Amino acid sequence: MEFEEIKKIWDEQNKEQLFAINEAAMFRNIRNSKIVSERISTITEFLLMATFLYTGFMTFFKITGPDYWLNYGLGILMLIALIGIIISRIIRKSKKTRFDQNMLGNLEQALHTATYQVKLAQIVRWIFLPVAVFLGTMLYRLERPWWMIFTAVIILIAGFWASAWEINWYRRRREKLVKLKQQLIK
Amino acid sequence: MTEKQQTEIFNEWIRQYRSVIFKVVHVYSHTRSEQDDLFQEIALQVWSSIPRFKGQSSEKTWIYRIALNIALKWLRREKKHRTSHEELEKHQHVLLEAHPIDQRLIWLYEQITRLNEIDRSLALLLLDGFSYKEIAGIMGISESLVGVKLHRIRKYLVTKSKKIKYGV
Repeated sequence: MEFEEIKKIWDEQNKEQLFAINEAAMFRNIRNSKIVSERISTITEFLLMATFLYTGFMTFFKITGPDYWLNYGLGILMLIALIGIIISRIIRKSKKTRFDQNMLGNLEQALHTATYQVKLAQIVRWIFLPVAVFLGTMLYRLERPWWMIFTAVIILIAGFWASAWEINWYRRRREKLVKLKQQLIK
Repeated sequence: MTEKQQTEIFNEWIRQYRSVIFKVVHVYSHTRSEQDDLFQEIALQVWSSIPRFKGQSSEKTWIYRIALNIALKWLRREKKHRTSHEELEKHQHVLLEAHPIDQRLIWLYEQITRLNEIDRSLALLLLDGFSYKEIAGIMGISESLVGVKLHRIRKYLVTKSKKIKYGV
């Protein structure tokens, strides 16, 4: 078959619609989708910001003990992390409109977001280490029972492991996008 | 723009260009539930894109651009993040079959579906008669690259057509 014949088969479907639309159902679904649509990055950022803000202030003002430098150290670390996330959010938002409105532009935007998510997850992961050191020292110096120190260590290890899984998940997503981009430009 | 005006434009676009969305939905999704899910996502994006439409391209090009981008995004998403099929089954279907589909057209859709995700978009645009320039604009690649890719797709479809048994 020549291409012109293939095109004729294709054009046949324009003469009569293969499907009808249940408009009432469509409008209902559109409205529902509008209400529930949320962005993963935004949710993650706000959750992290709230966590760092709360923990930072609590460490500064609520916890007392023999080593105030530990409280201040941990509080400052949390607030630095908070500022870091706010800055990266502002950068992400400012870059959002710089992509062309075509398929390549959309893929590049998605790649940019995926890269950002990897970086964000990496930042969070490496914050665990100094937090673990500060927290461990604090609990030890406050002469807390061993089970409390043990639980804190387990939670931090679990968090560190979970963030590694998260990073890999975002990386796999980014790899898929890179592959798709290669398909488009090659 | 008021919501009423937006809805009027949307109804008109859907009436006029629904076939564009059907084609994209067919090429990127398989089961009825998936088709419903993808159709709804595209319809939602088309609806919300109306205030941004400044007439720099034709309405058909605009809708194609949105439909293809949403289809790719939809494919990329992890299955668990898509609207679950069970959930969709609970609702009424948005797409209702109106006519039996020609066997030759089914064959053609099958061939397109076997292409990679990007080439499927190009095949749709090629078969719907878009110019190289328009395709380059939609895809964000150069016209010469469009030419190379379309040549490959055309050759693929013609070669496949020589192997079909029921003598189209």
